[in-house]
Amino acid sequence: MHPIYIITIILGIAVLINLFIKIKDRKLIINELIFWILILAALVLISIFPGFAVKVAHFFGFKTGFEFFIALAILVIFLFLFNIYKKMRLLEEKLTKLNKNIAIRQAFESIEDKEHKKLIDEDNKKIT
Amino acid sequence: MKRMQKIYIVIPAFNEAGAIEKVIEDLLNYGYKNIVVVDDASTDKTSENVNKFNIFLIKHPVNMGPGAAVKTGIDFAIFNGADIIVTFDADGQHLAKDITALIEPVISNKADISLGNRFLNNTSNVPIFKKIILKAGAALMFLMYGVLSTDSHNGLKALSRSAALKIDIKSNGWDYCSEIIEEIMLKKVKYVEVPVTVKYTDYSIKKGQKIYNSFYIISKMFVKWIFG
Repeated sequence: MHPIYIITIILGIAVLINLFIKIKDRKLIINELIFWILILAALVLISIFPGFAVKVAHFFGFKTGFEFFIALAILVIFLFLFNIYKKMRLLEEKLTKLNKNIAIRQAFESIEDKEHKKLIDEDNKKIT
Repeated sequence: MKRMQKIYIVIPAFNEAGAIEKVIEDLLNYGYKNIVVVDDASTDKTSENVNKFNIFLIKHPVNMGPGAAVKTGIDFAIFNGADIIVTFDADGQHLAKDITALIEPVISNKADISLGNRFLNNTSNVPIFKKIILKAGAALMFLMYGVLSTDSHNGLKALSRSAALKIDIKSNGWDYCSEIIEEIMLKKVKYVEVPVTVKYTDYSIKKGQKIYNSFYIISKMFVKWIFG
């Protein structure tokens, strides 16, 4: 077996253990865990049975397993990017709304304060 | 008897301590009392300078950008019962005297939105490179949304109350101007363009939109156009 495959298997198992620790500490949700397990399991399987990866690559029209892996990785990265962009936009929208509501509420409170102070001043004038 | 229209002037401001007082004085001299300055978490003395006047000051806790500031100001004006909302830049580029002509089509119900246009007269000293970028941006807006406006990124606009309620600004940055144009098209809002003067001073050029920002806006518009 080629050393790169051994390294991949070791790294894959290490990451899997790390993921299980994270899920135990509730730092990761189940959906994310399933996704990563699938990716890592595929990686470990490809390392154990490299011939299978080549067959899959040929099926999809790629010359080598490496080409197929790179194309797949780019696709996954794009999906991630799109997902992050969507989440970021949603968070930004929420933050903007929160920012606006706090600012408007404070403005109204300060107007009320001013009005209140004006009334107190007028009352004070009447007293003096 | 026709009742007096409540006109609110919304000024988004970020670090405009050097120009904001003059802008407010100019507006007050023209009789506009309902002025709303939205301080977008400035780090200079913008708020202190605004507080010298008896006008509305709204302070964003976090800096979100001009689009978010305009949205806050418009919503505040709506809460206060505004009939017409005018958006006005804080860097002294706009002239208070232009507001009369700008709001006229909205008051007379000829349009729901009146867009200030610096290219309809020859009174603005627009730098040549800026002119090219603005015209290219306007052409792009026409291709993407079918709205013919030669000056889509002019901050001087007047909106009727109903238009302000319809137009949904989601962009926090300078691209909110393009978004308004997009909303005009999508929600079929009646609009007109009115000639206004935009004064370019060293201060306003330093403070205004940077040329490189236009490329960022265009790329953002494309992403939004594709992904929605």
